[in-house]
Amino acid sequence: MKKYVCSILLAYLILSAGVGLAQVIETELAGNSLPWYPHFEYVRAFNEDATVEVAVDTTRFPAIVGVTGDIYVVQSQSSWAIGDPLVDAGSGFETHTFVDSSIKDNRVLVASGGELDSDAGTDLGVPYDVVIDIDQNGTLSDGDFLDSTPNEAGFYVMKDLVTKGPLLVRKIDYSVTGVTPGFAMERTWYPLGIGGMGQLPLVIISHGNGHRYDWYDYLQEHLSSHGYIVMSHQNNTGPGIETASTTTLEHTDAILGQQSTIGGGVLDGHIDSSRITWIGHSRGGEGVARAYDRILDGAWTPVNYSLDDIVLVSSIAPTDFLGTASSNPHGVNYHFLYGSADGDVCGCPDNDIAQAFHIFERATGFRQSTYVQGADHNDFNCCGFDDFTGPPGTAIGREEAQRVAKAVYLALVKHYVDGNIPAKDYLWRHYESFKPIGVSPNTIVVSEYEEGPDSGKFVIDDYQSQPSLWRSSSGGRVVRYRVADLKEGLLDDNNTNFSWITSDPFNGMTRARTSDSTRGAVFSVSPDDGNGFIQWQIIPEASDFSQFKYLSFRACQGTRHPLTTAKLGDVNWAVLLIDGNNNPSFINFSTYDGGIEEPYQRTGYGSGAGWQNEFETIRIRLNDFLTNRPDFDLTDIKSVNFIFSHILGERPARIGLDDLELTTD
Amino acid sequence: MKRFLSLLLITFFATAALAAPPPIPKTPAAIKGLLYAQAFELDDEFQFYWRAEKPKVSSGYLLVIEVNPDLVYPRQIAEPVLYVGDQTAMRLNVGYKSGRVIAIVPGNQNLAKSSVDNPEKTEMRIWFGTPRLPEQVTANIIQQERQLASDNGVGQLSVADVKKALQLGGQKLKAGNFNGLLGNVAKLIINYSEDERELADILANQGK
Repeated sequence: MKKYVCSILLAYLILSAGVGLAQVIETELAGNSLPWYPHFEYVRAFNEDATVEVAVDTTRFPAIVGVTGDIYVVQSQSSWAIGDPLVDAGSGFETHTFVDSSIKDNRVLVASGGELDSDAGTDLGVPYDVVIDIDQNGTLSDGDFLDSTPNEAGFYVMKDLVTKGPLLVRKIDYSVTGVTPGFAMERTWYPLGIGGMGQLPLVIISHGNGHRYDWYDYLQEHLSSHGYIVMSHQNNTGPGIETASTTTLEHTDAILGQQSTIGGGVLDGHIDSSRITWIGHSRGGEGVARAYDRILDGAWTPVNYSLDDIVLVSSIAPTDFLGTASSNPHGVNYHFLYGSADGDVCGCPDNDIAQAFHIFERATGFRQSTYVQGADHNDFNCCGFDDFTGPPGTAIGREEAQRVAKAVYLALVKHYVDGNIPAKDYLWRHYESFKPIGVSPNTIVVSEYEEGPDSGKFVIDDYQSQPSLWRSSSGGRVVRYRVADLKEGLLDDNNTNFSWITSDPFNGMTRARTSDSTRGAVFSVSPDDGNGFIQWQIIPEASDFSQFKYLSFRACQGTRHPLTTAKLGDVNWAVLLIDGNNNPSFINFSTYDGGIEEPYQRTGYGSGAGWQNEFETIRIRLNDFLTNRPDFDLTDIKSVNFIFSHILGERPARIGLDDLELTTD
Repeated sequence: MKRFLSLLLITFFATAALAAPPPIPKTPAAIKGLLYAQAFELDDEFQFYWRAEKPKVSSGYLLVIEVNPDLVYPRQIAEPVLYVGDQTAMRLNVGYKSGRVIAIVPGNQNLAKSSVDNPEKTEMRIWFGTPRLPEQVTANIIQQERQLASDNGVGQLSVADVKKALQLGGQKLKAGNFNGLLGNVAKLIINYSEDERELADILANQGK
């Protein structure tokens, strides 16, 4: 009986510990101060040279008001239990008394730049958790605040993505068999210690026309030093895209099928054939999309891999010869890298083949773009002719363009191939506020990021259906006031120049050819003459925004439009949510540092300056609308509104808009 | 001083523009000359990707052609297609700096055959046609481009020039396969387009 009672007691203690853990308040804590509402952003990733802050919104957690707690940054744990000791990973915990005031007054600096270790080896980001030790007992206790989940640390401190990884690497040049005659050479970079590293993901680079397979050492060395096998092959681009794609397909099979003999068998058994990335440049960039399409269509059957093994496809400044049906990445994770000063695949309005963005627009899975102002076509290889075409003084040069490329490719493969969590921040956060350390602060990079359809996102309006200007694609009513010249349509500049003319409302949109289907909206706002707005009324079935994490949309400025050229600079506006009780909460997204970029001031194709429109994704964390707003109800949202008001600092602008969505991450 | 400043400004802007690729010259455009021609024959045929029909090829000519460099500036967008008689040619080097293109042309045609109308001229024209992808060029397109070239004054090569090129090429080259042929292409690149020596090495190493 005693034993039985003891067992019961033990079980109770264990259970109560579990219950106790449930009483630990799990919430996001780490982030950055913002200049105005919501005054603080919770983020996953911090560069090693950046400060880390912690904030608590006392309107959401009123019990903490008046409490003095010790704030620890600790090494991340995959699971936490009551009683776990708290050991600060930096220079010691911070003590703070939380006040009944705005979140502004409850922000605490917990680590200065360089204080926290960022050396994650070949991985990206050292994980840390944050604990607010409410009872100041130095252990995790009931009532403490914890920023950590079993799957994700509170935050990550990132090393410079431009810096070479820790692994020693080696390159080999060799010839394979079974590929197009005359195009048999490959160069592969791999970690020197590959023999003890198990299987490593494979990255394959397919060069462009007149380029060579040995021109991508900068990228191959960088990625291999972080634990990848990176092969670049001769690419048969001269005849065209179909032929180039054949070379990509053949070489992927060749390295997998001939690994026992390549380099004396050094790669044998070490290539993970289920995690393949294809990167193609120019004609090769279209070629990789075409190659994916050919396998999908059943027009090509690989021997040593299948479609599912291609986990990421990226095109650098791709051409679009073959068009909608053929050069199409479909649902694969897709990335796009492009320079605004490209003198070859120029994005010129008179040439569909040279409008590189087409292929990006066709991607239907997770997709992201990296548009680099001042970079030219051959900046992304070592040795192609200088083709810079842009205003004097705006060239960023090959080294800088390659720093951008190294960083984004490392983030991409780490995220999509290895499932690295914080790498994603580099794919969508504004460069102005979060960029790889090694990239110059003066370099302008415009990014787009869109979640795939399987992510559980909800599309409020993507203009793909419901052509009425008064109805969103999700079926809700759209109302607008003092918004002029609103048009929905194909994202295709309908003439051969970039001069502004009213008969070409989609001027500067180089996103589609006539057979494509990507649509969006354009409009003009002149808040100096009075406030304007667009309101998307939310259908009742979709009113619960609390199940989503971000409100996301992409926008651009209309090139050479008088409202754009009147005052060059970023454009911002306020995003207002209204809940079922008519409570408003609004955020001007300029608070996140970086608005909608003005087009690169390149000339040609008509009068004036300004090149193709630069869509940029804005993602606003939905919980940010709750900051200092305990009455606001995210579970019942009636409308999403874009407010264009001079009082809020907005200025007249010509705007392109698309993909208003709620995303789960 | 004002003049000096203006000059400086002009130079500055001109420098920025200089980096841009040269515009594609008007086509059809004649070549400058045929420098070298050598017949070849292979034991194993190879697939010729430079026209839509993708024929299997076991014989043809290795040519070295002098061209306006702007026609062969390496572009990703459509480039002028190189035609030799009723064939498209496979370009094996870039040739922009040297102005010399090494090319393979399939077939056993007699390059030096005199034209019926003018015995001093061959029947053959070599020219750059409308920019497009060679893999999309069909026999029909070749016929159209031929007509276009003729209509626009692209002349036939002279018998003397072709004979001279053939003489320089010497005896028919016999090789086992395409890689064997590339060994000779590599030598031609070194001889005629020396700045592309690294490309020559790549071609010479095929299959090794």
